[in-house]
Amino acid sequence: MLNNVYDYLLVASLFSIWIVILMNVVLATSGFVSYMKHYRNQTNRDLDHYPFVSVLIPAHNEAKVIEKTLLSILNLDYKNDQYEIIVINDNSSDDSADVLKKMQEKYPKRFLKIINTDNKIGGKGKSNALNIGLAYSKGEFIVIYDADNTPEKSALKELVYSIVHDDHAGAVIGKFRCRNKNANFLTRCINLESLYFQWMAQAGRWQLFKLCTIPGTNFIIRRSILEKIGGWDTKAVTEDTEISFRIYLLGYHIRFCPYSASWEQEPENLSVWFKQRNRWVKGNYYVLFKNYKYLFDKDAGFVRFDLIYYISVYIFFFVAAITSDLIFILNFGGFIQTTVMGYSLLLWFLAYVLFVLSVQISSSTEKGEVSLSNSLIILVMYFTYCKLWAVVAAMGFISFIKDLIFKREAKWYKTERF
Amino acid sequence: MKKNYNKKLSHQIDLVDTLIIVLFFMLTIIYAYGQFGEEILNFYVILSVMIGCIIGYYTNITIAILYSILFNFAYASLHIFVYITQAIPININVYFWMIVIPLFAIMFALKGKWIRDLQMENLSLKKENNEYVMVDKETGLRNSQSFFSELQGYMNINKRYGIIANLMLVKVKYENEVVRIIGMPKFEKIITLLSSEIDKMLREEDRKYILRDSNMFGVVFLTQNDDGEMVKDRLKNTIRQLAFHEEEALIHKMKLEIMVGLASFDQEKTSNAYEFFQMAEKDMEYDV
Repeated sequence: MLNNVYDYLLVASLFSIWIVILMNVVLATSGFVSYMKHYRNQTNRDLDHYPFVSVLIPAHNEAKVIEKTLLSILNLDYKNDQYEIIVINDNSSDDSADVLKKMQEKYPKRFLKIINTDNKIGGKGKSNALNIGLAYSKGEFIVIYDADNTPEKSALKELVYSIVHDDHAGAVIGKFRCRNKNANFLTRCINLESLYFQWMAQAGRWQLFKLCTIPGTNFIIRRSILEKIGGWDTKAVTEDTEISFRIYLLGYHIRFCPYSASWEQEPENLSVWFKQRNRWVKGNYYVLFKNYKYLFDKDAGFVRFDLIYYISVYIFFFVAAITSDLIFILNFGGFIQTTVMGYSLLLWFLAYVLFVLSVQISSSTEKGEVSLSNSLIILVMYFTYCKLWAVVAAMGFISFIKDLIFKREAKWYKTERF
Repeated sequence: MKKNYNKKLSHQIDLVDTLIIVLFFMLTIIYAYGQFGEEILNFYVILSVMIGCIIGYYTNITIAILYSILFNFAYASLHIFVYITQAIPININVYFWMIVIPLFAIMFALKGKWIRDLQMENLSLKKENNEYVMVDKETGLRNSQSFFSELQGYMNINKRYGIIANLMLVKVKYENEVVRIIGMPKFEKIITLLSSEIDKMLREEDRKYILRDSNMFGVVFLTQNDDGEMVKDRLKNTIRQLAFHEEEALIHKMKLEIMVGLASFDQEKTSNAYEFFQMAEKDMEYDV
């Protein structure tokens, strides 16, 4: 039984970890239901009419990849006169402007706009770049692609089909896949992580509550909504999560459309990965901090689930994991005595087994991802890649608190390309 | 390439079968020597392992994993929450089952998947093969696969050179009754005999087909004059005088009769091979 304060602390942290595991089991199950629904009842998805769409591509020093991205977007399976492409070349110091100019000359008949900004109006992050692009756009719907993306040919059509057939959808998100997954161990882990995130977190929440988080690329949003909320929040470094919350609060949902897929380049070394994830973590803390009041607002509906989810992952799970690890170490060293240690070992084992199975289940939903090498990677991912995440979460939290105390403005780190 | 793939798939099935046998052996030994039988819960767990195997085998790997996730979560939670209140230490067999459940379910799901893959491949190869085979294995005659495309060819010869293209369809009269009396194997022999007679009687250049889908023989031949009717009569007479072997004595008594339909291609009345075929089929109705 519980004998001392450490026992109570350990039980509390075990319970928090158990709750997070439970949430993931529920998400895994509903993600699976969503998968079955999407692929068992696939109907003919032809568009009757093609609404005018603006594709925005924010780019900062993207000369390495932008040409290929533009080519794939120019070749999308959508009526050419029904979509415009706006590239916001945001304060780039490389030769992006020349590359883009050449592309524009090569395709004079296409609606391809290039906006070059300097450090006065531009250079203030992705949100600011998107707002500039929005001001120039004419489309009824706005679609965003990151500058390193290669959308599949049908990606845009699928997004448009989903949003025109669902009046309550404020936005529709597609999938993103890892293009350079075979580059090294890190990119293989990122690939598995992205599959897990999309089929569990995105499809799972969509199935349960009609909630998704905009992933920053390969999504479509109604222009009317962007105008109503005044565009992107320039203070947010994860503008995608931030805008998702504002869409929910307007009473719309965000639809998940797995038929639309875009392939992107993921970080190939740890320093780039750390910087990118640090930005995400900080951004998500910002969103939590900005929206936590809705946790107690009855009208906020299912937004509260999302807040609980973020809080549970970023705060409870994190604190609980550190507490239980600390107690384990202190107990092991003989500094303290606990009687419930054995249970934490089982819980840890449960977390590990379920992690392995959940990543395996999400990779089994994609063609070509069930392989012995992927299974082996999943087995070691928990002890390697996931531990890096814990470090990032801690660093991001400290950095966010520092920004808050010293009133520093969050800076947008642009992911380096390979 | 294809051959290699098949080999790989069957090797994979061999491997998974061997692994399953090894795992079952290990499970039996551990169960017996670990004294798992003393705890009643273990009976239910082993039942769940077997259910997992069945689910995995008949569905797919995704459902097998989902089953394991749900089982493991419920099983581990039960142990944590029930035993924490009674301060009973967690036994090693809890960890054992948490690995065994997904392992078995996934193994069986893989086995099921690979067997289904082989079946699918077999089915598609059979289908493909049927499409490529132009000659009937039993009778040596050309089959319905080549019939319509070649019929179109003869129609084109008529259009270009004015030579009359005739289509003659031959069917056994009261076919269903005959089959009922003598049975399918004997009837098949008669069909083979008939086809060789038709083959012998007609000229080399006449095209003979066996149309198994509609239980008919088709003969396409070219004539200068309107002498298709002559060929028809000759065929009927030959069949009537046909001597069957002893084993088909029953037929001999019954007097096997055939129905023949004949149509000559007329480009004003017929535009495609199927219509031409229907004309000959219609003509068969008048052969009473």
